[in-house]
Amino acid sequence: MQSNESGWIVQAQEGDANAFTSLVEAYQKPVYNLCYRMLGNAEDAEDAAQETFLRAYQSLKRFDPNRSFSTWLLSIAAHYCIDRIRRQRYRIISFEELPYLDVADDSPGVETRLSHKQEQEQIQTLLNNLNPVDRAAMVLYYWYDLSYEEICQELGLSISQLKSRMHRARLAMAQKWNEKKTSNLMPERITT
Amino acid sequence: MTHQPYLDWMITATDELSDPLTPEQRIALNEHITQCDSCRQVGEAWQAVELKMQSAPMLSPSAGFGKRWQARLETSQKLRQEKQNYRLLGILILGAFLMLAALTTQAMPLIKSPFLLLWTWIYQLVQTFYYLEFFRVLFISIFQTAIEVIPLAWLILFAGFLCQLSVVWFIALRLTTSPWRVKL
Repeated sequence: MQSNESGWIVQAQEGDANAFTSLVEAYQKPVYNLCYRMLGNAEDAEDAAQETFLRAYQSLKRFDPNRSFSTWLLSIAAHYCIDRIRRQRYRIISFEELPYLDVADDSPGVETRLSHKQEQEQIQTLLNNLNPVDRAAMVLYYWYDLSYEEICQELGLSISQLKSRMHRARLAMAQKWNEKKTSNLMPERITT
Repeated sequence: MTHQPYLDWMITATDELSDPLTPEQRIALNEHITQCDSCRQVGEAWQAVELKMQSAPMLSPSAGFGKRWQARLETSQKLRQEKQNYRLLGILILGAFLMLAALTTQAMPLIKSPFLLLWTWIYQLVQTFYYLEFFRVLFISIFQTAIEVIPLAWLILFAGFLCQLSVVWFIALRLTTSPWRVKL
């Protein structure tokens, strides 16, 4: 994969669009997932992922081969999504508005699938409440196993800034989760 | 009661950058969360959220993403080309306007006296015709002399050579400007 990737990159840098399509096929999933986690719906995620690859293709000549291609690609996607969220600020998405998620779920049971979907929606709602940069940091940390140094490099933050952002995001998510749990429990308490 | 260090400790328990808690800190934290409901709830909530995020799968786009991307690339390249063309056209129009403005500025003193301007135009026109006539006479005299001096066969050969050069020039132009050779 690694040697194939280097070959595709070199060919794509020479203007071979087919070689870049191979890179698109190889990285569509991580890029799409990042866009989905950032934007919260399938339509926007598809559009953002396509735009990410287009931007990467256009600036491929400036790509430094000493860097990791996947991290570079994720950085483009994260920045694009951050800008996009800033442009469409304050759009609040409720649980009901969230579309169906294309979760690759191997479990056969309908109940398991449903609960899986609900969990995903809950996580997505918690992420949607975060500031875009905090959201990008959380997604890169939890879904891509990037180190703090890598996240700092990709998002242009210092370690202390990242630490404080992550702390703020974790606290906000935990508090939101608590609020949701409490509001879900309320009707039961009243009826019992 | 202060909650700050305990909240921080609970939230960053699995963080790679945070230092692990000392036994004293762990005892203090346990004591605190037995007394403080809000901190315990936040800690438990974060554990639940983190677990869900760690188990959340990677989402995939719908099938045919690569083909859709190729189509988008083509559209984008066409748009880019159109933009470049419009930009070039804009630059040319701007250049033409600038030249016109420069000429107008130069001609301003003449415009103030229209008679002089008209006279200059007529003079330039006559001069142009004079030069054209001069070159016509020169060419005809050279041609007539050449016919007298050079044999007819040589002249035909020379004309044929010129024709061949024109054909080669035309083919070369077509080949170098054909779209499959010029990558935009």
